[in-house]
Amino acid sequence: MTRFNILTAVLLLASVAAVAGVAPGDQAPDFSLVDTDGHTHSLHDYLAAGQTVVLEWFNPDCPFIRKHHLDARTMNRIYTQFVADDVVWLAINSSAPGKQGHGLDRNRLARAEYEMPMPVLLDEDGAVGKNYGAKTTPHMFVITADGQVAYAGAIDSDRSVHQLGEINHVSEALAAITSAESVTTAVTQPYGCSVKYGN
Amino acid sequence: MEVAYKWSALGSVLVLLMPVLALAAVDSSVPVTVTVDVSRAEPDRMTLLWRFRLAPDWHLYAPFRNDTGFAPSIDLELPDGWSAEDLAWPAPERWLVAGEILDHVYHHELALLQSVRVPLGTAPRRVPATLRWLACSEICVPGDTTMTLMLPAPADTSVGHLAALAAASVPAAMPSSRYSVRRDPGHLVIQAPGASRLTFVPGIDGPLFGDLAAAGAADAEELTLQFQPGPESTTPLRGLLTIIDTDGRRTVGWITIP
Repeated sequence: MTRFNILTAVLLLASVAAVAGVAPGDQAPDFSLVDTDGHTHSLHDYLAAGQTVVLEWFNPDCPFIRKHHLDARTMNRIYTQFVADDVVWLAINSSAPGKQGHGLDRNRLARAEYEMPMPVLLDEDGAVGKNYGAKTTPHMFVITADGQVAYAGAIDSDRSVHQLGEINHVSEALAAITSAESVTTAVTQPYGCSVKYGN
Repeated sequence: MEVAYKWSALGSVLVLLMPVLALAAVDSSVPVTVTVDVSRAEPDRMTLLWRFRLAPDWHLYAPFRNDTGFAPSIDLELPDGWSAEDLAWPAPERWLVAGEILDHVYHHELALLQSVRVPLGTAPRRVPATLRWLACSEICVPGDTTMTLMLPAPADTSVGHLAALAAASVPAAMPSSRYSVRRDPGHLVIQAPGASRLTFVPGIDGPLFGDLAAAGAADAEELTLQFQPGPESTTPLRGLLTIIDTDGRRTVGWITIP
């Protein structure tokens, strides 16, 4: 291995080890993941197209996900409201093999059951989830077209599994971004089930 | 006195309510069983002892800064003139899992004390109670149930010792002589001379911390926690501090940082 390659490898390892999550104002880490239909989604492609990107950490069997996807259709409603404003919504499942919610078949079935217009991307080694510091399902990130994280945290203001919050933080962030205004609430404490990373 | 059996709508809980001695069916497929005991130490005050018994490997959440879950809630529909104090929570266990996901939880059993005051001379009447919780192991199962208590209960001391045990596990204020705390810009620094290990568990309200999983516990006399930037970083906060001394003595107490 050449000296350059060794140095590059060390720097890459250092950068990966140092990432413990993203906060508003950070550049969103790039990624490429495959969805349940076999299509590859790369963040840089969406940003290059000038799109705002919503990332939702997803586990079909988490009661908080069922609250928003099955009971209330929260995610579909927001998606529908903003899709014409060049907003892309990607659901990401970082459940490891053997953990709740893992697998192509389970997520393909859930996408149909929940009538999700957005794709579900599989991150079964958890690398993307850990890079973003995703801890819950759902855990939401909104990324503006310049690649900056504009919002990170909960979907809304009610941490229970029983009812929706009065404030939907993602909807508010998208309304601000699509109106070329500043996002007022850029960070909240996310809530939900834990992301089922491998041990 | 009333005896009631009820399966929750989510099919997760069997509740057996008896006036003095609480019993519960044991079913390994049910993660949580809930009972309540009532003792009456004074003519106008009762102590309710709520007990959540958990199946092995399941946990409930404490009302502190957690990455996931939510703590049990108990809502009493009290008549006019009655009052209930806040639930008294024991110190939780720090629970760290893959992905640096940090929660503060209870395993095995959670016993919650609640004091209820009634006007003197009040005749027994039905008091509805609604309970909600989230029990998790490898998966999470939300639970809820409603109970009907007949209160006030007659004076009874047969469960007084259980209430005393529960009361002993509820932390008090940490003596100010044991620690010092200061806010630096963007940081909170807690020191406890002579400690071999410190753990800080922030209350559910107040500022967010950026590195609680890594920095919330240390084998040292000092903890340094980084606030997440934002307007909350200057708000007052409360939390539980655990000090383990070099001789192994463990002290848990509340601290308040203005």
